[in-house]
Amino acid sequence: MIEVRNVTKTIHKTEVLNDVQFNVRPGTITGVVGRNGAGKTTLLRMISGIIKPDQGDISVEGENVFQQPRVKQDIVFVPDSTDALKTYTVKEIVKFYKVVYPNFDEEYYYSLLDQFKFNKSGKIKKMSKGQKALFSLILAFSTNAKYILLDEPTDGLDVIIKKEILQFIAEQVAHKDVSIIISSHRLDELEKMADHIVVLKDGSVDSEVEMETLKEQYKKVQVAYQGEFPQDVLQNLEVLSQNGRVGVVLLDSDDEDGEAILQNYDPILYEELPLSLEDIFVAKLGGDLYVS
Amino acid sequence: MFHKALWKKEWKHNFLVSLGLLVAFLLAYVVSAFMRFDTWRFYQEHQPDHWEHAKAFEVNSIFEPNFFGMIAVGVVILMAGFLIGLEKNTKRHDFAMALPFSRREMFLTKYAMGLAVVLIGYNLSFWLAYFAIYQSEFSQLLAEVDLTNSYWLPLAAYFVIYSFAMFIGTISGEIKSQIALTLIFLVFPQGIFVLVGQFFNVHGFDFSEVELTGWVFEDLFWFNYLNNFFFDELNIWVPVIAGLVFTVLAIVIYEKSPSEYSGEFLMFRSLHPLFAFGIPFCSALLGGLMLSSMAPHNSSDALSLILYWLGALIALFFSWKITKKLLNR
Repeated sequence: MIEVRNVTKTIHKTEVLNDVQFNVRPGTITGVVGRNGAGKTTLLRMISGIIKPDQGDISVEGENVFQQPRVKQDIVFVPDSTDALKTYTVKEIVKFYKVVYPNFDEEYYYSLLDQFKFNKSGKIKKMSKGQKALFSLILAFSTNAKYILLDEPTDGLDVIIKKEILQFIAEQVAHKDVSIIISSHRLDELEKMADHIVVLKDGSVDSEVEMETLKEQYKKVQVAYQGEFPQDVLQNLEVLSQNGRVGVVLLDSDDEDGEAILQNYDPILYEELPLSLEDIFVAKLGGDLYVS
Repeated sequence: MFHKALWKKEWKHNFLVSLGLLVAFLLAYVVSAFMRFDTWRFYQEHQPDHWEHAKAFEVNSIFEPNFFGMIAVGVVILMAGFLIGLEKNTKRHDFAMALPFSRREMFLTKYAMGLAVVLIGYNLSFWLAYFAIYQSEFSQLLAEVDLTNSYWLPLAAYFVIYSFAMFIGTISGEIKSQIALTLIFLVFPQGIFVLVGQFFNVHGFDFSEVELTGWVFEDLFWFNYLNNFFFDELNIWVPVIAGLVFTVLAIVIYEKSPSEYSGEFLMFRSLHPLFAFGIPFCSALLGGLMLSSMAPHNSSDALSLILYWLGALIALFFSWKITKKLLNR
C-alpha cells in the first residue's frame, strides 16, 4: 500500500500541497484529479521520491521512499514527457531497465512492441508523440512494478491514440497485479477506469470518493413541465442544467423528499439519464471543480 | 555502492566528453612529446650549445601541462557539467531521481566515473609520453625530470579543479550556471583581493593585495600547480586537502539539494540573497577596475576616481538587471 500522510510542500513561496493525505490500496486504480496547478504532478513526483515533502511522509509497503530508495524498484513514474528517454534506442533502454528493475519481463516487452507495431531497433526520439506515450507505458508495465504512477498520460494526444492508451492501461490492470495512480484534469477519462478518486483543489484534498459506491448514491433525472420550471425545484434541489421548461436534476438515490418535489408539479417528462462523475462533482463539490 | 545501472546511465551521457578529455591529455603529453623530437634533433645538430643549456628545460616542459593541458582543464569542468548540470537542465533529472538508488550512490557513481576518466586519461598520456622519450635517443634526458613534482602536482590540480566543479554542480541548478560559477569561483579568492585592492588604491589608500595575501595568489591559485615555474614553491597537500573537502561538501549537498529547483540558476533559494548582493557588488568593483585602468598614466587621481565610479555604476546597473533575471526565472 502507498500511504501519503499529511504531506505539505511549498515551492517558490507558494504552498503547492497542504496536508495531503490518502492511501492507495494494492490492485486499484486511483485517479488524482484537479485543475492545472492543483499539485497533481508535485504529488506524483513526491511519491516517486523525486521531491521531498516539507512535512509529512510517504511510504510504500511501509517503507519511506526517501530513507529506503530500494523500495522504488516497485514504483515506476511515467511523466507527461518522454524527454528523459530520447537519447536511448528501444534496445538500449530495455538493457538499462533490466538492470534497474529485477522483475523486468523482456519477453512481454517485445511482445507488446510487436502488438503495437513498434520498430524494435529505432531510437525513441524518432517516435511520434503518441507512440512515445504508448512506449513509455509499455516500458513501465514490463517492469512488473507493483505501483505505476502516470502523470497526465493522454495529455495533448489525439482521440484515437488516447483511446488506445486508455484501453491499454485498462487491459494491463486487468491482467497484472498492479496499482495505478493516474493524474488527470479529465474526469471523463478517469471515471471509466478509476476505483478511487482523489480531488485536489489548491493543493489540498478537496474530496475522496470510491467509484463503486458513488454512482449508487446518486441519480440524474431529466424533467419537463407544462408551465414554467418550478422555483421550488430550482431552490431546493441540485439542478445541473435548465433551459426553459426542461431541466436536469441530480438527486440522492434515496432522496424521497426530492422525488416528491419533482412529482408535485406533474412533470410531462421524467427520465433517468446515465450519470457521469462530472455531474456529481459539479453539483456536489462546486462548479469551480469542473476540470474537463 | 556503485550499481551497474548507474554506471551504464552515466557512461551513456558522458562517453563523448570523456573521450574529449582523453584526446586533450594525449595532445598535451604524447603528441607534444613526439612533436618535440624533431626540434630537439635540430638543436642537437645545428645549435649544440643552445641544446646543452636548454635540454633540461625542454624535457621538463613535456611533462608540464601546456596549452592542451589548459584545454583539458576546460574539458574537466565541462565533464563535471555533463555529469551533474546537464541532467538538471532536462527531464533526465526526474528520471534519475525516480530510480531506486540513494542520492549518495548516484553522486558517488558520477564522481567516481569522472575521476576515473581524469586518472586514466592523465596517467595514460603522461606515461606514454615518458615511454616515448625512454624509447628514443633522448632517454638519458629523463634523468633531468623532477618526476615527483611533474607527475603529482598537475594531477593534484586536476583533482581539485574537478572536485570543485562537481561541488559547484551540487549548488547550481543547471549546466550553464554550473560552468559559469565554477570558472568565476576558481579565481574568486584572488579576484576579490584584486578588485578590493583597486578600490582602495583609487580612493587613495595603499593596498598591495599580493603582498598581504601571497598564499592566496600562490597556494590557492590552482592553475599554478599546472606550471612548472612554481613547482618548487608549492605544497601538494593544499590541493589534495581542498579537493577532499570539496568532495565531502558535494556529497552532503547533493543529498540535500531540493529537486524542485533543478533547471533554475541555483538549487538553494537560501543562497539567493547572497548572490543578489554578491554578483552586482563584484561586477561593480570589476567595472570600476576596468574603466579606471583606462585612465592615462599621467592623468590626475580625480579622473581615475571619476572613471572608476562611472564603470562601477554602469556594471552595477547591468549586473543588477541580469541578476534579477537569473534569480527570478
